[in-house]
Amino acid sequence: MENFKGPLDLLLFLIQKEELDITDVELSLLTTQFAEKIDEAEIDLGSEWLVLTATLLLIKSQKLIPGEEIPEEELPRVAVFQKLLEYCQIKEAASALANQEDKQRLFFSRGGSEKPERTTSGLEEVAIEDLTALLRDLLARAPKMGTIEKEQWEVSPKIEWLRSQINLNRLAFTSLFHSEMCRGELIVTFLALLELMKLGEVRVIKEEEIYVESTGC
Amino acid sequence: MLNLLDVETEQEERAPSRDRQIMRIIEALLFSTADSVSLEKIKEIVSSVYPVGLRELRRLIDALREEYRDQNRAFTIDEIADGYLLRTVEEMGPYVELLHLNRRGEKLSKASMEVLAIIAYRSPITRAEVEAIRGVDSSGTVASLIERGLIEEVGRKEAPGRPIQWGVTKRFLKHFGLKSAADIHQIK
Repeated sequence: MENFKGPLDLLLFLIQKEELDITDVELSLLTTQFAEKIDEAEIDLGSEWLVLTATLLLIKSQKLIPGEEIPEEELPRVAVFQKLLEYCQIKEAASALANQEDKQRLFFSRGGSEKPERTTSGLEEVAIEDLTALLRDLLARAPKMGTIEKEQWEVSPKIEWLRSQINLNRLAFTSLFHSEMCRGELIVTFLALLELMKLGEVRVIKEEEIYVESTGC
Repeated sequence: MLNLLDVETEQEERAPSRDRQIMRIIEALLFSTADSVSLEKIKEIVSSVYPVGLRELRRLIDALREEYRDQNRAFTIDEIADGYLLRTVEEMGPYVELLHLNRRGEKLSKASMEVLAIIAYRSPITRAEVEAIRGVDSSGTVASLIERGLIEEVGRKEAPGRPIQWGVTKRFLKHFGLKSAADIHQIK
């Protein structure tokens, strides 16, 4: 059951197995098979499966019980066919794409491999303890404030400022935090730096000293 | 037909002709990067020394490409992802592959292909719309395609919650060797 990518995929498989034209499908047969398959699975397959099964059963019941005529376009089978047709087209397109991917794998552009797919936070060489120690050290140096004032420092302008400071260079970590910065500004600068690391624009390296450098991204 | 290239070859022994020099610049630009370079960008760079029109530039790129072909070179210049890309010819694929065994990207899964196909053909499209077509949850697949840089946000749908609409990226075009997004419909 896990081999199917959703209820439509299974339905399509059943239709193809019976070699039926999907505009003239013997739905009662199909519905029985579909329901059996779902029973076999015995797992929660989600509401989409339920909806499709219910729709198929409704179609089946309409065929079995003679009643008032329902206009063709209001029949649920029309909606199911439309969905199936659309899904069929997409499956074809997907296999065409896969085919194209296979063909293209024989061409190599310069550099061989693509860019690394994951950007790291740049924290491999700096332990969290190093960062907390730095922050503590910076806060200890900051002048204490007695009154609470309106928030003066915001992260996004700080990010811009940091970008302009680092600008493809490598800087000592401490050079970004001036002693005349107040507590609030220090915290915001620190947060801005963390944000840039998260974005993969800068990384922090520990050598004889701790440095901040641009990743060139 | 007057053979222009022969005439140029004789001149080259002293100083390269203007055309030859422009072709060398184009070659150097394409060699220097793993990405495709747009015609406009090439024009901008070449024009800093040799004023050149787009048509003439295209002719010179074609001449370079023909030269590679006539000389049975291992490279080819292809029009991919809204620009020109230098890559090895198909015939060399099996050899180059051996060198890059571990560096090749994973092939896309069947589910990824389905989602990509839907996004490529129906863009801009929201995740909910993709799921409606597939009849199955696609959040994980969408997330992995974003991570691989094959799809990106192209807008927001004017609907409750303003859901993100997705479209394919330049990287997608490169991955599938397509000239532009319109070429998707020509894949067979």
